[in-house]
Amino acid sequence: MWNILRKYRGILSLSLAVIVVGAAYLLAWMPVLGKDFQIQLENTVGNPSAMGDFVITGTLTDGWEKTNFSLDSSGLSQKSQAISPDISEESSSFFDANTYFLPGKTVEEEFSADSREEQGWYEITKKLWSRQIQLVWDIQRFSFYSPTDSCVRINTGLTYPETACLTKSLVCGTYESTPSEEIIRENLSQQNYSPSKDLQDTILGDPNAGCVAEVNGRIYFVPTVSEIWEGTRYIYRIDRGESWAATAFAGAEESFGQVTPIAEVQNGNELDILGIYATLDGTLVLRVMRQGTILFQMYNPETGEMTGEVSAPGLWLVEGANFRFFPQENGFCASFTDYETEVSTLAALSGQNASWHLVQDVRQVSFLLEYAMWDGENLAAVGSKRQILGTKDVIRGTIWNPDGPIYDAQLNTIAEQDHQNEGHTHRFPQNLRIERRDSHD
Amino acid sequence: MSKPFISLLQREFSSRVWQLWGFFLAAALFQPLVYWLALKSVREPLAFEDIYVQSAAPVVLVILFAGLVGWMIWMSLRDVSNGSICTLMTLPGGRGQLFWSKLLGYAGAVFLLLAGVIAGILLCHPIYLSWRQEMARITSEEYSLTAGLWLSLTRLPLFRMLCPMTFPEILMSLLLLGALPVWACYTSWRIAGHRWIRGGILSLAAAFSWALVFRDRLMEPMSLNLSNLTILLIFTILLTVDSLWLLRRGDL
Repeated sequence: MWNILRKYRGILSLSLAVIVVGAAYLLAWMPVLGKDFQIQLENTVGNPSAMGDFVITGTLTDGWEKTNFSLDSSGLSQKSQAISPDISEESSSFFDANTYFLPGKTVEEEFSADSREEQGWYEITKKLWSRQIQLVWDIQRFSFYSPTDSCVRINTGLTYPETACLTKSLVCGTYESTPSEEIIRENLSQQNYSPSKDLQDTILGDPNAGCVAEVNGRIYFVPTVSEIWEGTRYIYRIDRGESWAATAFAGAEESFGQVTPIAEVQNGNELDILGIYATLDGTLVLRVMRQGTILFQMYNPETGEMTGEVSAPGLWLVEGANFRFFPQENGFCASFTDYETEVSTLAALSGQNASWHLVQDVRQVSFLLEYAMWDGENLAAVGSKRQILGTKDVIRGTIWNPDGPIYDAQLNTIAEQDHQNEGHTHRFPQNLRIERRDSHD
Repeated sequence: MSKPFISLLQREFSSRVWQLWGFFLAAALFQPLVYWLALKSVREPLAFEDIYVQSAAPVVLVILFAGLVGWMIWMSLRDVSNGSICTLMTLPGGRGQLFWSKLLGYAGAVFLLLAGVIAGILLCHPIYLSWRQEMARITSEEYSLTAGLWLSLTRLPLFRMLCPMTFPEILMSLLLLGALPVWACYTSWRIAGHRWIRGGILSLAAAFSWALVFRDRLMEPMSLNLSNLTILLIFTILLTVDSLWLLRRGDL
């Protein structure tokens, strides 16, 4: 025996090393395949066949490893794996929007200079009360990992009918004495005006992304303003932008870039314009509000024609609720989510046969809605509820037909999620999506 | 593989395997010891990998891997100093097989140490589990741990290097571990041949490149720095080619 060990000590040593390494992988992997770690399908209501062609997919991950799951009419499937290091730096771009206010007819001016702690330094301020304030809109597009950026500034032609206060201020120094009105006026000449709160509150929607939509590589924007502004609201197509470096020091009154108004917002003076979006087949969708009711106006970007207007009573939740838009071919889904109460509302609109209408009644769910889709008749939604009792997240999916809910499923992960048990890293649901079976395959 | 090559391989690995078992046992036993010592001062519920990092176990790893590289260099230098290199270079089958046998032998040594390190980590885990149970008993809290080893091996960059779970990481770990015996062979022969300038520059540059890749894997484990990896691969190939050239010229 000893002779055999001596003779084959090299091979035996390497074999033992392989066994040890293999055992490590086995000991790590085995509990992952056990029911205590896997996602469990629980609390289902209705027949799974009601899912039809819908497939609910998603990931439970902590950024280091993930469990991908897929739920369809045949059941739940899942696969756990470590996340592979990534070499790709995806080119991602984002929009930034700013508003500027140009004074109209001056009603009153006020200049002041407040001394600062440092000797010779003052905060100089000019307040201007003006009527017919003009609204200038600034859109910037930035790209990571590539040098492109593009800026457009346009005077929307909208004017504020009431008197409002605009302010300029600057902290500057090396004054021997309190600066005079002339000096203040001169030093503030390059500054842009800041609006009063009342005026700022008339600019609506998501300040960065809500006023811009992209269709077939073209950018469209609409000023998201309340109904109080006077003038014609247009949907603009951005034809050409300038580089940020060339426009960084341009005054608010200077327009640059080139835009084309492609559509006039119908009944714009009666509407609060909240955002612009695009369906997958290129229809522009305006989200507006008229007397507390959410409306969707659909426009053809090629002709500028409004192709439909649909109201969604009951879709609006509360002030501060988060709006989500889920584009599809020939339609879209729209939802509001209140993160305080974890309640979401959902509407599905279809533009098939050149006629826009609600696919079903507005639905309400008691989870944070992440994605929704309809297939012509049935509507599907998926979302999550945050930590229940501080231990776990759950994933919820619901299917409705025109008569009401026909299937509801809850996915739990049994693994304790509390940070004290699993360390500071938490596994959370991500990329919750709904697909149609043919596209999923 | 030819018989002379197998004989060389046996000389480089099998005949020295008892020494390598010393490294294996040191890795397998010292890690749980320092881990257990670190647990004594932990009063809050921490994850397995967090306690591992706080303990002296990573220091043990550094010492053992540095020690193994030193051992490889010493073994190669000893061949030159006692003249056995001259005999080895006259064996049938070409001088290149001397390098390849050393490389494979030393790679086996690295693999054996890696297995010892992994065995040590596995032995730390039941120590951690019993400590957790004790913590739960003392604090009267309900702790449950499911798939804890899986989560630890994927969450700690050091563990992802030692026990890679994805194909790109396996390749990177193979490159990092495989570069060690190549560097040890080359550096020892350059030292033996007193080639300080050219050999020194290449050795130092390769070591620096290795350190950069190692740092990348620890600090940014979820991103691949292809440029650093490529440079390390080039250096590894360069050192291999130069080593073979050294042997061919007999310039030791």
